[in-house]
Amino acid sequence: MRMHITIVSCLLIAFGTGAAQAHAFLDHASPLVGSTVRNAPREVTLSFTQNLEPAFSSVEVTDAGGGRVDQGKAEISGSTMRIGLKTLAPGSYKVHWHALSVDTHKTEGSFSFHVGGP
Amino acid sequence: MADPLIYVRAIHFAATITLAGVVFFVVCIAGPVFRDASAKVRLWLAWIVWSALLLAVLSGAAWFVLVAQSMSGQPLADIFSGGILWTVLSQTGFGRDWLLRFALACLLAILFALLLSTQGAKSVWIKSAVVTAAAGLVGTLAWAGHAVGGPGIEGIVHAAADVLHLIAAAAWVGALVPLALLLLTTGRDARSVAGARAATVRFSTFGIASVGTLLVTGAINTWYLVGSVHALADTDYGRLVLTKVALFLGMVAIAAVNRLRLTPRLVGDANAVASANALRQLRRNVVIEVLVGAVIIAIVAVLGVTPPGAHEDLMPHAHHHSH
Repeated sequence: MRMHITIVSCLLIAFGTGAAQAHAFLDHASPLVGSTVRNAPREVTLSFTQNLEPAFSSVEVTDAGGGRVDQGKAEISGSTMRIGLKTLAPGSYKVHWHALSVDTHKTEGSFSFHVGGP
Repeated sequence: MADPLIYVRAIHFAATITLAGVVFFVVCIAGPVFRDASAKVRLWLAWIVWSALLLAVLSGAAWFVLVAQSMSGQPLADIFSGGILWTVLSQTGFGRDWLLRFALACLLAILFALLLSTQGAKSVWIKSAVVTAAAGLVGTLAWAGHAVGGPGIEGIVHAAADVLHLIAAAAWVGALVPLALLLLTTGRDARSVAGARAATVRFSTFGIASVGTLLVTGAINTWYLVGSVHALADTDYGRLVLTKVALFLGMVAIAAVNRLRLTPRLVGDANAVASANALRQLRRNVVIEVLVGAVIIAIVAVLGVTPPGAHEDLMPHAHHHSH
């Protein structure tokens, strides 16, 4: 009995090693990743799996031609990143984000969304 | 070949855990024995603490520079000239934690110097403060790992578990270093042997508490970290963890032998054959435990730069930079 407890305990301890990497991955976004929205959104909101460091996290939204359509500086708080957008015409847009999680690891990614016509 | 951060982490963990271990040992675990110990042992232990503290500060600085470089994505040469180091120090969680840890290291240096004085050795305030500072220096290592940054209550619980996990590790693995030193310098007279026996018994008692803490906090960390059982065998992270388990089991087994078989034989003076044999084996075993503990620390250093099994599935929309 004692041996079983010891073995299980030790296995549990081993996993409790902590200090491993955690990256901030995109959990969900608004507009939804890959979606088509009827009305042009005023902002893009990104929710991540980890809290972010504002000093080293950013996001850019570009149109089909590669021009920036965002307001520049993202608002970052906790695990959420929010950026205002200029008025968007119908078309395809790409969101490219760079995240630095609070435990110092960088991730980046991108996705598209479409603004449908009237 | 390997990421320089691994070596820096390993050195920093080893130095921090050792110096905290000596503080815990001297103040809490073997206080009475330490007071009676020879001037040579006291000198050795002081030397270990000062060296470990210096090593911790230097490796800590190197760690900070490497992280700043990775955060900014700029080459090493550039980060010294731009304001990057200052940005990281003042505007990131990591930087603020590192500043706090540096302050704790300085405080610990002052308190330890006071502890070494005859006045300080008797003062409850100084003894409490130095133990708290040491625990703080070790516990704040949690902010150098993944246990922080998780949102909500889960993030708080995970961080708290990791803090306690680190302190318990220092109280056990770190305190093995001064125990080894004490055993290696134990004389053959009855009084020295009795002192060694008392220290080992008290160490075991604290050890049981530490192992218990490691267990509970380990279970909590596991809950948040382990993605699946298959990740244990299929990922680098999982395999490293399995190795760590095996080594840990080894240490517990040795500790059990030390406590249950060898320590009770430390009776009388070391001229009695059984007693002499027991002391000799105990010395050897504790040294082996220290070496195994060092390997475990090395594994933890590597684990910190390895994506955990649970996160291997979260990759579809992102690529990540490992450092």
